[in-house]
Amino acid sequence: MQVPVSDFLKGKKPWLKKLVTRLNQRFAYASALGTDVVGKRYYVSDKVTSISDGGWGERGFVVRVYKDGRYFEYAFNQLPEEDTAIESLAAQITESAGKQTGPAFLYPEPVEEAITQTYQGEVEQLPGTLGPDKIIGRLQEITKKMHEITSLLVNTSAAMSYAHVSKIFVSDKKDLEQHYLWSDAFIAPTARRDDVTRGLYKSFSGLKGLEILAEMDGHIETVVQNSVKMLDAKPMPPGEYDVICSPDAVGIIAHEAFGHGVELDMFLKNRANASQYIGKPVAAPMLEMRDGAKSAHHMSSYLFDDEGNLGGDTIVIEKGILKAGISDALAAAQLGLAPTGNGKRQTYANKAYSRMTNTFFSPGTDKLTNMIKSVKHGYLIEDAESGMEDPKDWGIQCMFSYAREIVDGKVTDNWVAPVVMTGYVPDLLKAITMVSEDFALSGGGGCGKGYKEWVKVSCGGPYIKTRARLG
Amino acid sequence: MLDILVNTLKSFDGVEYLIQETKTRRVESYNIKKQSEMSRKIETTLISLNLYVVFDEGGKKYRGSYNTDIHPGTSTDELENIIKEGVYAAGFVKNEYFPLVSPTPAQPSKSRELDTSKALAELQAAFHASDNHPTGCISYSEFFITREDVRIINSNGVDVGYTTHRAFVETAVHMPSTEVGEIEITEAYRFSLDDIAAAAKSLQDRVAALFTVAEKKAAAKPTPTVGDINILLSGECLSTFFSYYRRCSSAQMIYQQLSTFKEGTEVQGGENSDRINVILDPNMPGSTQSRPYDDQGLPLESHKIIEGGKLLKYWGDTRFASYLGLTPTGNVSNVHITGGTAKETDLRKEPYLELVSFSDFQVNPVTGDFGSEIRLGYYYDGNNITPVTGGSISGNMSKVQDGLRMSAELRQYNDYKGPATVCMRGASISGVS
Repeated sequence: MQVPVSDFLKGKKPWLKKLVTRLNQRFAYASALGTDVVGKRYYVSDKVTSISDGGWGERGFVVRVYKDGRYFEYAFNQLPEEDTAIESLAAQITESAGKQTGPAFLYPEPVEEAITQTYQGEVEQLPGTLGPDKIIGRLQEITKKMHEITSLLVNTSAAMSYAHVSKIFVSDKKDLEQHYLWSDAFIAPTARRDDVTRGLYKSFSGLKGLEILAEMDGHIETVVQNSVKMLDAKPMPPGEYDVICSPDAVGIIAHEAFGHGVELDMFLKNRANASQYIGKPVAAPMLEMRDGAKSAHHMSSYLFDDEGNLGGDTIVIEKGILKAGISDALAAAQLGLAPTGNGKRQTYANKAYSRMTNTFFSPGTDKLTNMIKSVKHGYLIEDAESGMEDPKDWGIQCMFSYAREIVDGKVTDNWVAPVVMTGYVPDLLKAITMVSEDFALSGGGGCGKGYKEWVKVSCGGPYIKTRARLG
Repeated sequence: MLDILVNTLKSFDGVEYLIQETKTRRVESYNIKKQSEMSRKIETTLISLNLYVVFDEGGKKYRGSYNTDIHPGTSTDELENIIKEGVYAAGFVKNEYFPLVSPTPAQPSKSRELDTSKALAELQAAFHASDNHPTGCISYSEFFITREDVRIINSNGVDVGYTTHRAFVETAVHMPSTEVGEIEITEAYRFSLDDIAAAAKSLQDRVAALFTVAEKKAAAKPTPTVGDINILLSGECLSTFFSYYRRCSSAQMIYQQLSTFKEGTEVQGGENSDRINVILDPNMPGSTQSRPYDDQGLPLESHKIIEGGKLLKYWGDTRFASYLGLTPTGNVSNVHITGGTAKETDLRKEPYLELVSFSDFQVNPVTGDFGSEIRLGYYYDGNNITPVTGGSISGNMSKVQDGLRMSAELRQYNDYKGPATVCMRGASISGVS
């Protein structure tokens, strides 16, 4: 089913074009992004149920103008539909932009190619085809099933969210429209025995509609059983180990440990060690890493980014060599590169930065069973929780819910939790000795930049075998 | 827009509501070193609407709810459809009944005019004046100066409002290092703008401290594998560390069985520790979270929730307090922690590993697990103090509370005011060497 266009943006587009036309008379460059993102989140736990916007909704506009090397942006959510009011708004933007003084980091004048394109995504089941009673009922069934598996659960929760994303971008040369839908969902049991409490979280995500609800069923038993197993988990004995990382864990490593370090706006600020390694080895020779809206069909796949540049497919690492970074429009212009279509905003009210989209290590040829057999003593890490970037110093912080000990090539029932992976990024990537033929992406959470700027992304890859410091 | 929404809501029989309108006016400045990279201005109005329907089932009363955002320019027809859809959906959201907040006498207004552009200029000038290290430098900075006018209305007749002014600054210092060429240390600061001069001075102090941390990190050795020695935590990580007690005392976590804290009982554990006191203070000066009303319109007051390690009372908003049969305290984010008996210097008399900067220090309030990668620490072997970096700390609150000592000296980091340093045993350090 085709994702519908936004009537709101359709109605506002002529007025946005008028505003840009007026601004083009005053500035060397002007563009505008309009957004209409409508979301819903259905949440059920043992004692609390809710239906809300879900936190990703937005409806507004941001105008970008350029003159004499300086950029200025104005974000607002009340666009008048009257010529005099548009003129007044253009004058107000001009006045605000004119107040910029002092030393400036000057950018080259933007150059755009003429593009007119529209994209409408497709999903199996659009929101609205299932009533709130059915969705809530489905989630209630899932929480009930979790309790049927064990009496050790003190709380269970399940949720499903979607966002219907509509965006338009207009400038002197560009007229772009896109309308697509993403969904995510999770199940989360919390188990308790005596004074030990453990929780697990399994997410589902993709450019999907309500069909995502059907994916949850097959995982309930495993997630609940794992949460119970975690009650007996021991603390991780600190040390350096051979580890097998699942696609979920690999995604966090690709995204946090390396991906943030190739965001090219970090190069401009001398904040990324990767700037010294273009063309040099940073990983094991069999490793390939990609990022791009067109690299995969997942949470961050789109026609154009929030600066009106078409999404791309960037080979970041090829045969272990760092080949290229990912860029927003301004960083690309300053570095003399073509933009890769990675300029993303949290909302229309936020600045665009170089951001990841769908980031992953490409699959290899190894069998997972052989990878596990090759480990004398180590850990199988399967469930990612979070991570933090450190692009300047290439330090790693990746947090995992648990790991299972591998002894003499066999995964044991010895669980450790929680697990913190640390180390030096190139050491970890160069220590990769095996890459499986499997491949999976996930995008249930959000990605921040520094301390803010949350956007949707996906990340993942195959299973990898490497050596890492765990604590 | 707000008036149209309220009038439309009133045309629906039996529908109750809670509305929060937020008008945001923000100026932003992005800098690379001391050069301006981009300026931005934001002017938005957003309405958050909660619709409620009350219904009986099996002789029990329930309150169903539906939350949605209303954007400017939404037509009356669209509003009617949103409300119809919301009322229908709320009928399937079967939560225990709770009352909405009732009107109370208005709190004295502290609203004042603040020129956000002028505040931005003053803070940036103070900030850049601190960028005077002989070898290190500020790599970048981002400034966000925000005014928010909030109005809260409900169908019980509550109609209150307040204004906040706040700043957010994100930055990084670079410092030459003989070991690795150059290192970076990043921080973000959040503070209210009640007093611009004080905020500017505080910002300068934080930047000066950041340069010191960067100097130490540039000279740091790999974190050693330490045995059973004292682990000290200092700095902003303590805001996260002590958030465990606030979160586990919440009526919401108790109601959902996610916390095992019990009113009137010891929640700190361990007999040999400094006993903790926790006060929720909605008026903490300097905090971006200070406000006269919570997000449901309940007037806020200060509440002591833990004294001497014993939980005096749960805190909660009107909904979750009602579920537990309690008087609501409202949702207060500011936490004031006391109870430390030692001087910071006393905590450093025996060999220790003191951790002062992390990648992202986290505490899980449900499990009590905490951990992070170490970006800077100090190892004292009894003779020398060595800056160290790398490796990680992990532990569980239940395992480190016995013997926990807190400094009597307090520090404030936005919505946290509490011990500057704590000393513990029982955490695990994964060293690099």
